[in-house]
Amino acid sequence: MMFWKRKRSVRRRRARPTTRPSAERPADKRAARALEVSRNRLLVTGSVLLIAFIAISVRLIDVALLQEAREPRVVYAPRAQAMRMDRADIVDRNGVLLATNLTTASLHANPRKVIDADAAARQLVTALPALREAEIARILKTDRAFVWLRRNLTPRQQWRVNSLGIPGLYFQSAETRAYPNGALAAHILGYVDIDHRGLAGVEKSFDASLRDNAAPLRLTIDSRVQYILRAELSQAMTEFRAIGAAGIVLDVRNGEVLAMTSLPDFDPNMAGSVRAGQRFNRASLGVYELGSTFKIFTVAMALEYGVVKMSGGYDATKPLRIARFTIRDFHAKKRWLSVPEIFMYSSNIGAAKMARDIGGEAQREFFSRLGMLRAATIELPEVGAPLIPSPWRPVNTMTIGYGHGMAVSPLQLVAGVAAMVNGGLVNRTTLIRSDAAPAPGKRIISKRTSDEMRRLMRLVVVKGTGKNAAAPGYVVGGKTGTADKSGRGGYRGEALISSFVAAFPMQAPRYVVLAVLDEPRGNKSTAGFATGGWVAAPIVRRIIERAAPLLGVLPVDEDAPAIRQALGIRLKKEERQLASF
Amino acid sequence: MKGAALVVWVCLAGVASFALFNITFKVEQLEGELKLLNKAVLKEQKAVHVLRAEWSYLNRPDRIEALARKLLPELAFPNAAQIGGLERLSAPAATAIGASAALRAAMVRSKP
Repeated sequence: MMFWKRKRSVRRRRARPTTRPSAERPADKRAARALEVSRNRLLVTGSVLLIAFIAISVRLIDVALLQEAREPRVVYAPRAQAMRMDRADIVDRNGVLLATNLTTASLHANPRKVIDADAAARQLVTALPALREAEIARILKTDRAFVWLRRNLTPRQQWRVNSLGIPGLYFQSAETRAYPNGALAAHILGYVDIDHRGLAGVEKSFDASLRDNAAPLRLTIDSRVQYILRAELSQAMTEFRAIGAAGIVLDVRNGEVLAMTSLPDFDPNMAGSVRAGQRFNRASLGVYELGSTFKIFTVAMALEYGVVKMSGGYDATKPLRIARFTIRDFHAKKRWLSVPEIFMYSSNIGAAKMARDIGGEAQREFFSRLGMLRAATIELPEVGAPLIPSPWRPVNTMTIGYGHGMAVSPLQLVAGVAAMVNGGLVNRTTLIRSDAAPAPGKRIISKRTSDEMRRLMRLVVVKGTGKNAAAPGYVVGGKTGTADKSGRGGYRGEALISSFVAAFPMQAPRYVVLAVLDEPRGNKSTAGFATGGWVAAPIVRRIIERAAPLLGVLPVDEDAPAIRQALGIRLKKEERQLASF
Repeated sequence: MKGAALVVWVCLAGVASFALFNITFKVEQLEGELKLLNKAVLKEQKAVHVLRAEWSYLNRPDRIEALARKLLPELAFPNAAQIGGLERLSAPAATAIGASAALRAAMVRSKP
């Protein structure tokens, strides 16, 4: 305001001499008005500039002194935005990529913009030989604005199509689920549909978290062991013309599944063209009467409940008749057999009598605690519920004693055997690797019984039906199993489920290995036999020989006193003689 | 005197506003650079992702086994007798191997 007033007063002072009425002329008047206008303009301009300067000064003070006058307390480094895919990767326990999303280009066209459909089709099949020229020409002649020509091109195919320079053809980028290892762990991984929704395996059971999380899903699978298991089973399946096979490698200390395979399998990259038989997971969904491998549980129960001692035994002279069944021994000795003999010669009569003495109630309760009366707990949607007798009659108790009359999945068998040899603790089987310590297992048998089971299983491989599983240096112990497959109206004579379940190294078991062949046929190398000891035990031996070094299990001298002491069984003199032939 | 003060103030305001605008422009420029770098990082991440998938594809155990059979026909599976701990070796050999293993481990650790 002061500025304004002062200017006015200056003007007045200057104007005064010219405002004498006598001297007033029209020319002066005009000049005075022009001067007045220019002064006003100057004033307005000045004011605007002044306001602008004041505003800038205020803002300067504000920025420099008032806002964030200090250095920021927390320093944020600018971070690159992490790449985000629609679906997280799946990796094995060592970080090997098992499933991932890749960006691929899909080829589509706007037929209205294609100038010469025939020429375009002719050129296109040179770049993409899988396409048929006539079909493409027909599609490109339609009166539509959008048609798909081929989805998921490889970068090379995309480059070739692009270099043709056909107008009216376009690419669209989209993500595709890729399984770089193909069929390796097909039944574990499962597969997804075209919209990336999990339809089987861990892709289905972890569908939501795979979509939401950027971090890869880490499995307990070791892809090297998985490969060995699959390769050996697949070779044996061909050799013995079996219709299927299944195998599992399990860590006995924490229930982690290191490998699990079911044959025939499929390539999850081409899940659309897979037959139902290939999708079927024999290891976790299939339930089978697994035969003599169940004697592990029968003997463990008998020893744990004090039904019989290691030195005790049963008469197996004659086949056992009960109801309309006759229980016979495959490797009949026709004499009294001690508990170790019943186990190593796989005597059905002995096991049935042992189960009879245990009693149905105790047997049922034992299997219930072992988790065999309900579906296995594992992170897969394909889990089969066991088939159990109802009501549980005495005859069922006896047949279950040697593995008939109750069907469980191979996964349940392996988990059960792990509990028998690991000191007596039932662990939850899992496919997901976690850094957290696993929940402690539930005790099912005493350490002492578990120790006796180790000795018995070792005996089977050293002197009994499982000699073919002896992998030198790895102290293998196990049990053979050969079960007749049940069909319509009873058991089918020649159709067998032959299996071998092993643990190693037996003095301090780390892993359980199971191999099952579905309907194997004997050949010259097995003298025509297709039993577990002939066809499945060698698979287990080869798996252990190849996988043990990878798993960090060092071979030991099996005749070393410490090992002999840990696993020896004192047989009576006459038994030793008989056992030797 | 008043005029001189005014000139000083105007000069100061001018310098300050020049500095302010200069900083703003520099920050904008750096932000642009950061954006470009982030884009490049993302592109590299995608490339690494594809390479990882390719690595996994090329390292399929069946492919490695087939290649080994073809190119290393003498190579066989190791048997148990060939595998053992250091204690099975004679003392000088064990010391030498132990030293080279320790050296190797140290080299692995010192990798950036």
